[in-house]
Amino acid sequence: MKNMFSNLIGSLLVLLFLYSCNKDSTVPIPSPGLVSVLTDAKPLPAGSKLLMEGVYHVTSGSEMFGDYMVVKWNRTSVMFANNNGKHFIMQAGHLDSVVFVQGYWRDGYSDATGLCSMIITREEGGTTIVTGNGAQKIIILGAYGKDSGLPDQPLRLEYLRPFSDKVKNSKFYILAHRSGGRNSDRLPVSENSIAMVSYTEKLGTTGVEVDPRISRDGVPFIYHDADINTRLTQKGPLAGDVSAYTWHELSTFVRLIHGEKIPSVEELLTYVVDSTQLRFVYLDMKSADAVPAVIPIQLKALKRAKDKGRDVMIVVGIPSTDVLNAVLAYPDYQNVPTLCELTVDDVRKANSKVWSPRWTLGTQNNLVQQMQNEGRLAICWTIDTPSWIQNYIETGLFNGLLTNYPYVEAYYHYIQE
Amino acid sequence: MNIRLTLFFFFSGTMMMLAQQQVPRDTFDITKSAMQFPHHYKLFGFQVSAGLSMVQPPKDLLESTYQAPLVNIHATFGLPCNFSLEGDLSTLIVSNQLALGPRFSYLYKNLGVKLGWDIAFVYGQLKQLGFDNSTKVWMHYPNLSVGYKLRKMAFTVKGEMVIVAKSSTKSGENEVNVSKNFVNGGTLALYVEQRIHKNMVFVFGVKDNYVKEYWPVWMIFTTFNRYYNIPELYLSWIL
Amino acid sequence: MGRIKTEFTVVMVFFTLVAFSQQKDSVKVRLNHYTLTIGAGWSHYIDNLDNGDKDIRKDFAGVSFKFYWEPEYRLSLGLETGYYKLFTTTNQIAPDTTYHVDRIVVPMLLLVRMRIIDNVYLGAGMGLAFITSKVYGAGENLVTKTTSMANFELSVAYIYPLSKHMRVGGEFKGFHFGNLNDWMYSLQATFAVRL
Repeated sequence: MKNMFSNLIGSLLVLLFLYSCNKDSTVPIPSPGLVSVLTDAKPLPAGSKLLMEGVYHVTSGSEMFGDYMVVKWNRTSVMFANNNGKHFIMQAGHLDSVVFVQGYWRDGYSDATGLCSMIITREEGGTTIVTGNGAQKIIILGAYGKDSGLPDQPLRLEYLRPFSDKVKNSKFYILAHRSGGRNSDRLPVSENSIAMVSYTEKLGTTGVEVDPRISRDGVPFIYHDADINTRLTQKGPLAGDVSAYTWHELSTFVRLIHGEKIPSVEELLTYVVDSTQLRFVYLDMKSADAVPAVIPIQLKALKRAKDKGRDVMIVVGIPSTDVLNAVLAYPDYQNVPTLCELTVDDVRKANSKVWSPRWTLGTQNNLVQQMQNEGRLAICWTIDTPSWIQNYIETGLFNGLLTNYPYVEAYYHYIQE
Repeated sequence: MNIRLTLFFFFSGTMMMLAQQQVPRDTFDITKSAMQFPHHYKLFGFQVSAGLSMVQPPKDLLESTYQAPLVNIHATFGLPCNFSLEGDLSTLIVSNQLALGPRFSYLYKNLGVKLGWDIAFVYGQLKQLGFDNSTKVWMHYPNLSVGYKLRKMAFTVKGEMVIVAKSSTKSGENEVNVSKNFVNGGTLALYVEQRIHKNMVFVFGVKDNYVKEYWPVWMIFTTFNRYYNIPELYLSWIL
Repeated sequence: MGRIKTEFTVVMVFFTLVAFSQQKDSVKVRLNHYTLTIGAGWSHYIDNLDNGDKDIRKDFAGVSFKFYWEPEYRLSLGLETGYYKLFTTTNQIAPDTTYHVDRIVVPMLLLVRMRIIDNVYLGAGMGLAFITSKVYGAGENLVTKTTSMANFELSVAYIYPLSKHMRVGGEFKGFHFGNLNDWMYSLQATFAVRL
């Protein structure tokens, strides 16, 4: 009898323990160690990068990574993406006419990851990539591993074709949620942080959505939830409504889950304009009170971008009638670039540049076309399942999709013929 | 005097025994009233319980969405040859699961074993708050229960496999059918059944759902391909 | 004869008393009781703060209030509330600027309690918790509130009956407040009125 009760209590405690073990964690980025061939390699010129880009056929390793991959360079690295969420974040350089590609792969939908090391020999595309001469067929040969184990599984990619003209001429926006990725996807940096804005380009992102709020003393900052909680922040002494605190208190006492400070809207926009190649920022207003404070910062950042010759669209999001009314109350609101998530009538009322319906309402091609005929864009949010992403890209008419998995969206976008 | 004393004690003793007989003896046996504990259910006997499940989904799945307890109705129906049928309805209004399946129970002294296989249908629909979604999922729950009983109390450990057979999701005008046929995980639960009032039985349970996809949060369209431990506290009253 | 009558009368009275007493103990025994319990004692916060806890106070006095329905067997169902201060931190952020932060919790739990052996009970609870955060110092006096939806309690109690209607005892209990992942335990003396 006593044992029974001990077992009961034991089970309860075990369950409580298991529950406490569900804390979000980060999938560690595998490290190749101190010695890397890339240390001595020279960076590839911009022209070489363009030659590498395209659609590849996976001839070895397809059971893991599918039959096709797209290869696309970004500001800091080269991304290989497939249709099931597995993607490679790689660095590349050359020694003579041999191209070395090293980095890691990650399954965005699970915690699987591993190292990857690849090479393009001088006979199988290296010479063409490095010198720009000749028309060698590119073969990328290498191996991948699991976790921090050495790459020992064969991987071979054959260049199939360049991106289609449709893709090259498209201004399709691959928008990443919460400045580039959610905490629940176990990325190495925190959602809605400047570090995430920097990181997300590696994932194929061309624009970001962020969540502005306003502090008690009137400083707009980026933070998703209404309260301070352990999903978003390291555990600290403050709790409750995040907007009840001053900017100084938030900066002093609150650290995001990976230790970053909460960014102000101004800090984040300045970073986007000055330090990234992102083309779109969607300020998804979490509070109507923040609208009058955010718009001047938005306009200042747009001017800064224009002065620097940067083609970046920064829009104030209108997710609710409260925010709509706040926008309509702003002087000269017709000339404030906005994105409206409400009805198309509301879009017209606010003269929004972008209509952004929730993806769960369907592709709504008729309405999308109406908006586009009026010179507006249509971008839907937030779509994550690969089959839905494929469906919306293939059958929808949207100018971009907001997602938590930009590499999947990138795959389905860049592989279009 | 002796005769009188004898008469006195005999008479009063008899009266006392008679009085004792009027006291209803507590013949309660948990075996007859339990639902989770494996036993030979009364032939064509029907039992039903109503209760609540408090669940704490992980932050990955829940984020800032609303949380509410699951309302649960559980029923058993006795069949010949130690077979029985069990049904279970759990609802969160926007998400509902109906499970039904046969059981075979074997009781040896205080130990009971029950084998079963449930087929479950999950239906969810949400057309408010910017959603226009519905989901239909078919699932299998092969299960095994092992119980130990005292006279008035029973302890049952129940394990289930959770297999997703087919799921279909509709969003707006688009419908995507995904037949998955994959093992979604398993559950392990401990139930304690005992009387609470008169001969009615109260069931207290703790359950761990070790699963990838958790049916009550279907509307979030989770894309995570990883296992979570989702604890559940179960309180139910056998009516 | 008169003596026999007297003896017969005594026997009948005795029988009646015995029969009546049996009836009182069994058939008309009261099946339901209701208990109000007040507890007061020490509480300790298990510090799992990642930052801001250099100067933290974790031990405080706390109170609890419980209402139980006690049917005739081992199980009882009840409701519990209380008032606990989880911690106070002191943060000096500049030579002349010091902030204090208090976190206070008021749980509102549904309880299930079971008598294990005489006077010893195990309990489990689940429900809501209302969490208040107070920030004060340097001209600041800010109160924010948040609600935690998934909270659990486990307890073990010793309850001694002083009289038909009064109980005293002690209770050790552990809490988990889900929203902010706070853990706390408490040892309280309890006084109960049983109706």
